[in-house]
Amino acid sequence: MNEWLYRSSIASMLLSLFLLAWINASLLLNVTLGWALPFFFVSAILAIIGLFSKESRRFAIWSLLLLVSEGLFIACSIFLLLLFNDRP
Amino acid sequence: MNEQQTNQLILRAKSRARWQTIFLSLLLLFGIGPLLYLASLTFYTVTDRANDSIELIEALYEVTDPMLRVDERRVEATLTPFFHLTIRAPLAMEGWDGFYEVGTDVTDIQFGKRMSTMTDWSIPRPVGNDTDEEETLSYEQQVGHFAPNDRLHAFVTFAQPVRYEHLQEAIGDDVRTTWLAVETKETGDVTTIGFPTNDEHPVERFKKRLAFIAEHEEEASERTWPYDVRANERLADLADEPLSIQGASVLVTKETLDAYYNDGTWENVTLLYPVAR
Repeated sequence: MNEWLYRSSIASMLLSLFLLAWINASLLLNVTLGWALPFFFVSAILAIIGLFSKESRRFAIWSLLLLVSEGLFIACSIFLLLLFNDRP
Repeated sequence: MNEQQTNQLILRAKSRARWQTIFLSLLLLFGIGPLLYLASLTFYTVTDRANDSIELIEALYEVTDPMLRVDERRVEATLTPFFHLTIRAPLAMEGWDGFYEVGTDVTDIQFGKRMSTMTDWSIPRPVGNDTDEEETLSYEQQVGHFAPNDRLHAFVTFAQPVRYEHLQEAIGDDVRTTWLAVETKETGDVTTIGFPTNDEHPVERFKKRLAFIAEHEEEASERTWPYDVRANERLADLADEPLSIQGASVLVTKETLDAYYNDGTWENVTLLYPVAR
């Protein structure tokens, strides 16, 4: 059981990193961010599962922190872009 | 705990340490992009640098170009994490039946400083050598081949400057003006300035635009090089003197243009059509 929890937290971490790479690609190459949302939720669910094992908790917490910071980054960008578009 | 178990524990710890290093490296590698993007976005938005640059492009076309206007609703700006901003401003030209898009002004800005400006024309234009000197065509060469009822768009200068209040009396109903050139100071290296007539309060808008250019005079001069707007000087002149109109972009038939040109009311006629500058 513990092994599965450990694997889910590793998978969550990999998915979060993949999302981060996707965000980078969208910034540099105009790739759409739209399809990222399902991966975001899957990663969050896997991370939460990973939280139940002491061994995998560290990865799961890192993964959740990463997802939260990605969410914050997107929210800040949208806020600043709205500010940018607010021309007289 | 026997030796085999200890070895397994050590191996597992090593494997985890390796994974952690890989994760951390990827995190740093991918994390830098969004962080730089946020820094870049903050740099251009919080100080209004991007908006000011866009407004300056719009203001300069409006105040110094007798023909081209920026379509304000469709200006696009793209930002990279490396503090590079590209502004694409669609250019429209007023014709008899409305506005026509003729190209796009593309400005590249790096760290808030303009690096280059170019125009992507979306219409056919004459092929010429950049080193060729601009050819000055006579009135006949320009309009001689048109039929009397052909509708033309031309920039004309008035033989006698007209006070803005008396403009309607000076030109007839058969002439539609799209842009009015304002007389202030006339020297060789200064751009013509004026304002489009399609606004509800064109003079107030013109003064506001000129004041905005005056606030960004250095950047404006770089864009209009080798000519200079001298917005501050001209604003001061406008405050002292009544508004005097020196010329106009007009939509007229060939017949009407001939009449005004031949009786000496208008001189220096230039047909307006987009050409690369």
